[in-house]
This record gives sequence, structure tokens and C-alpha cells, in this order.
Amino acid sequence: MKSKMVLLLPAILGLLWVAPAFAGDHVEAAEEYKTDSETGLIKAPGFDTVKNNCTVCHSARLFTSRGYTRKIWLEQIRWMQDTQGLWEFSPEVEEEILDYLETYYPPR
Amino acid sequence: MTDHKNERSDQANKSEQEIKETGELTETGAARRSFLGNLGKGGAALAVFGLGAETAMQTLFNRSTLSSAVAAGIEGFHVDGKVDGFIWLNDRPINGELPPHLLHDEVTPFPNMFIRNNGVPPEKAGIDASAWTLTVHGEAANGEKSYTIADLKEKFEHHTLQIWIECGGNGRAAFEPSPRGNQWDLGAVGCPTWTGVRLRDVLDDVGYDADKAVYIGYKAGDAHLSGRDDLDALSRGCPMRKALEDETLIVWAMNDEDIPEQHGYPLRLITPGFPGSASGKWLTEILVRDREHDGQGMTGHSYRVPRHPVEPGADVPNEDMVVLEEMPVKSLITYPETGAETSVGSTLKVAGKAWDGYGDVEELHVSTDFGVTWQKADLKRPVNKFAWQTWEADIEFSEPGFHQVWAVATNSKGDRQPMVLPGWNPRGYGNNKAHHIDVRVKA
Repeated sequence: MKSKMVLLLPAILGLLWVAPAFAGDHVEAAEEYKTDSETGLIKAPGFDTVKNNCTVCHSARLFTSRGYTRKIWLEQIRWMQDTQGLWEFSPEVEEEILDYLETYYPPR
Repeated sequence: MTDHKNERSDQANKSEQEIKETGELTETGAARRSFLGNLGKGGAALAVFGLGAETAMQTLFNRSTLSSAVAAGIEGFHVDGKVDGFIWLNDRPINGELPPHLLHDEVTPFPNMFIRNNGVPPEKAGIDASAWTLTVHGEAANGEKSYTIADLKEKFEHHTLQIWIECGGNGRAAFEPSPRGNQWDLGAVGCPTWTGVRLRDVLDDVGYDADKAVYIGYKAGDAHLSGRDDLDALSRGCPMRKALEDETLIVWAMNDEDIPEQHGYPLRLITPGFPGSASGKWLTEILVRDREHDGQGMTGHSYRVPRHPVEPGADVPNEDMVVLEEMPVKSLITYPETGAETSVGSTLKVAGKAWDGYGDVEELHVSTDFGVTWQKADLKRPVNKFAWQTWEADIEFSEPGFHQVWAVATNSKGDRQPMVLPGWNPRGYGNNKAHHIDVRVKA
């Protein structure tokens, strides 16, 4: 046990040291922008469009508890449009939503 | 704690040298990123305080509620009567689970029963239970028949059974890459008593063509999240073989009282052993189908798993997905809460629950050495088929330090819970990986 602890201390120090480098886009994004108190969404560019289109029926927690790739985000939008009563987006709105989700809610 | 974070703790326990030697740097980087992403600055600060480095790190990585740190951010949300410590994953729809130590009751009381809603439940205050009807019809039914709750109570034999319900996605949070859906950790399961009548008796009363009948589907009184009348929030069911079992019930009471609003007031279905979604709440219709039911939640990837194993992250075409039926054998350690302390030479009583989709758990074993050796626990028989089973074991630790207690259940077919994460699937169902708690042993 003791030898394990000795080995562990440098590991922890190392972990803290690399924290900024490994913090990832999502965490950096979260630090740059404020969080909307109502939805919990990051108030980055695209926030209003996402809030207005993606939190009418369900809370944002349904999709922000984990992050996904652009491909998966689009699949989820299509599934909601095909089966769950989600309206069609204009190409510009869809791009804005996908850009926002891809940038601030990537796989993590 | 979620299992994926346990694996991260394994990484964190390695020194830089060990990591270099085993060539795991990339994975470790990813693990650190996720770890920091989840904990944020608070987590790092906690580690800095690092009283005994080992225990501090282990604790951070082994809290059963850790993965719900995000969900815990739902401020001010609460369902009346639910226990303090309830983990709210979502408020619209309402979804919440329990940390394992709050599932210790032998019969799960209302405050400790998880909630998984897909839509918006009908408000109890607006329901006249005496006017609520259940209508049975469908391609394979001999006509159509409606029953009030009073009709059901009067016409059919009553049964009170203790039956567990577990969300099909319980344990989803452990899968990587992350499947869509609520990120359930461990506690989307509970086992109250239910009182009602057998679905089989009602189906017999209506009459159906046994050669034609394949599946039953339900319709329910909750509203789709979009508010659209033409969409069901959830409309699932089960094959006839399951519908006709003794323990498949239409119930009006939970723990001898009216079913609470969030759990299906005034009438619901109980389909034991299947994912919770097969036990429709706010029940209004039963369809006797001549094909697999195709309602909301039956098709595509919903409540389905790949026919054959797939690699993590795979794109699985719909035609290769099959309906998830019996839930796999599983157990939880519900006492003590993870992080317990004891001392060398004293006895620690460890206790929990075990259940299986086929109805009987045969054995439960615990290990304090990560599975090298096993100790058989005292496992009680279920009070009835599909009641979860309680178990306990007296454990003694021969050396001080940081220990873990792991529990593994074995069902009547000899199937055992895995100690590693079971096969990845697109929606993250059926994670029955063995549960463990941390125990600090003083000299």
C-alpha cells in the first residue's frame, strides 16, 4: 500500500499540472461564456437559436448531460423531425444549431 | 459510482512511469479530460486539499452519484414527497433516480421510487378515477370491451405482488461512446408492492384469437412532450407469452395506496422482468395485436439492442436491432453507503438487493480482492416471483487501507453479472456490470 501511495503522489501532481492542457474545448467554452440560468445552456453564439428551437418541448438537460459528434446531433434532429413532431429548420438555422452543439457539446 | 469512472480511477492510480511503460498515455489523457470536464474546478481543488492522496482520489472517482454532478445542477426542482438525495436528471420530462444506499428498503416506498417519464403525466387533481376506463381491443381481440376500475375490482381476482421495475437504460452513463438518452447511473430501479388483476384474466374476458395474437400494446393518458394529440408519449407492450404470465398485472395500487401521480395514477400495467417502459403508466387501452406492437418506443433504436454484438460507436441499421425483453441479472450494494469505514478485526455487514429478468437469483457472492476470491452471501428467496431478493454478508478485513467490496449475482440459468462493462449498444441498455462500494479500513 505504501509504495502505491508514493507512486500516486506524482500522478496527482501530474494530473493537476496538465489540467489546463487537457481541459478540453467544452470546459474552455464553458469558462469563456456565461451559462443561461433558465436552461443551463452555454450562452455562446447560437444560444438563442438553440434555446428557441430545442427547449420548447423538453428541457435542455435532455441533451446536454453528455456531448456528441455533429453526425449524431444531426441524426437526433432528424429523428425528432421524423417521429416526434419537431418542425423543419431552414438550412441557416440548422447550421447554426449544429455549429453550436458541435462546438460546445462535443463528445466528452 | 459509475463504472466508467471506476475505469478512469484505474488509470489515475498509475504513475507517469507506469503509464509510459504500458503505452496508455492517449487513453489517460482522454480519461483526465473527461474527469476534469465532469468535476470542473471544484474537483481539482478537492484533489489539491488531498488529505491522504490515495483516499482523496479514490473517493472522487468512486462516488456513486458522481456522474450525476451535471444533473444535480437542476436547481429548485423537486417532486413532492421524494426523499432528499433523489438525483434529478431532468425536469421536462421528469426523470430521477436514487443513489444505491437510498434503495435499502426491502419494499421500496414512494419517496425512494425512481421516476422515468417520457411525456407529461395527467394531473392527479384533474382525474376522476371513477370515470377512468380501460378499453381492450385490437386485430386479434374478439371485439372491444371497456372496464372502469370498479369493474376490474369487482370482476377479477385480486393479486398483490412485490415486483421490481428497472429502467432499460439503468447504467447507461457508463457506456462510451455515450449513447443518447438519460444518463442513468445505478438507481433507476425499485421494488414496491402492486395490487390489481392479472392481464391474462382480462384478456380471457374480452376473448382473443390465440393463433393470431402476437403481442399486446398499451396506450396511456400522458401527453407527448410536443403537445401534439396525434403522438403518444410512449406506447409499448410485450409478447403474448409475457402478457399471459401469472405476474403480469393491471394495477390500481402501489404499496396499498392509490398509485402516486408520477407512477401512473390511477391505473398502470406491470410487466415484470422487462424494461420499465413495458409497464405502461396512466393506462387507458390494451391492444391485442396480430404483429409486434409498433407504437411509440417500439421501433427504430428505442428499447432495442443489436441482434449480434457490435463494436462501440457502431452505426447499427434498424433491421439489425431487436426488442430488449428480459433484463439481465443484476445486484446493488445498498448498505453501507460507499466510503464506509471499519477497522481490522471488526465485522462489516454488507447488504443489498438482487434481481433477474427471468425471476430468480440463485446466488450472490462478494469479493474484497477484485474477484480473486469470493465469499457467498446469505441470499433470501423472493417473497414472490419477480420481487427483488435481499442479501447480506459479514465481511472482515485482515489488513488496513483502502478496500472495495464487489457483489455479483447469479441467476437461475447460471448467468452471472460481468465485472467489466457488458457489450456497447447504440442506446445503452442492459448494463448489469457488478456494483461495488469503497471501504476504508483502519488499523
